[in-house]
Amino acid sequence: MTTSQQNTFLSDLFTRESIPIGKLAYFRGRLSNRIHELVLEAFAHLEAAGGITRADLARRIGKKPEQITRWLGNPGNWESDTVSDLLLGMGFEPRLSLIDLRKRSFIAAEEFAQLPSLTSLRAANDPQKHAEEGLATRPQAQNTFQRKPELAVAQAS
Amino acid sequence: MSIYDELLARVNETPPRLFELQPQMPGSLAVRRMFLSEELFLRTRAPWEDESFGYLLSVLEKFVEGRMISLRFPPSKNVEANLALLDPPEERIWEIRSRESDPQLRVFGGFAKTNTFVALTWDQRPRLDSEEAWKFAIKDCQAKWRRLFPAYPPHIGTHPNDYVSAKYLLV
Repeated sequence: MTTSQQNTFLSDLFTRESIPIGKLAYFRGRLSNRIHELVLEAFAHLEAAGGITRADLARRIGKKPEQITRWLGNPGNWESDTVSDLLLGMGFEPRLSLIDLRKRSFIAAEEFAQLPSLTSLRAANDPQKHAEEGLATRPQAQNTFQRKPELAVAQAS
Repeated sequence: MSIYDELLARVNETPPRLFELQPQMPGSLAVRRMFLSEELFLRTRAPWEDESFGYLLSVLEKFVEGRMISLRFPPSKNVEANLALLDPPEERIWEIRSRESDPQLRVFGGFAKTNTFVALTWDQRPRLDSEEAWKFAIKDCQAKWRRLFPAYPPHIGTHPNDYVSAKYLLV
């Protein structure tokens, strides 16, 4: 697929008043895929190292092993509680970040709050507090589109 | 001529009978390969009238982008796996499941070789409500395969690695 075709795929996200239902579904699916991958990779890694079984994980989060197998199979009915429990049961907590689809640049969660537009808004609303906190203007974001999903896994200490 | 040569011939003929699926998102790369029948290819092109094929495209791209997938391989009977070898395994037909839409969709196809899937047919899950319906789905897919590749049956292996070399979890 050419870059121009890929650009066209995203264009109606920003040019139409409402996002088409099919596109909403596609991106919901992408997010679900990434979360599923996160959990599967963590489990596969630990299982291969002999560190966990499905029965272990089930016990740790108060579920039956067959429920773990169902969840590992497909993320279709996962809620955020499910994701949290599965990862925590393996000793992980997810770290979140964003991809700016307009700029196609990667933004780490801790950087998002320092975006110039938000920093300026804070300063305008409360200049005294802004000065006291010594918030610096964020450097320009790198316009490099990151392929990897925005969820990363940080091992819980 | 290998099956891979046949695949490329189907893509390059006029009109093409197979279309290689490339990820739609800028910056995404194809790590595994998937080839679609014309009908599936057209169904997975935006704009979509409803959510079903938007979800389906995300599922197919999950495979192509090389993401971790859940795999059902005999003797497992798991009904949740992303990708499943259908019974009987000697038929060599696989099912990709798109479970988040209503109605759910199923895509049927076979592997041309490791990490290379040819998706040929699809149906709505509620229509696959009998053993006969599933048998028909398998036979229909096989018939379409034979028309495309008269000299080559779908790839067959004895281990999941023969189909997907990495980044899968057996369920």
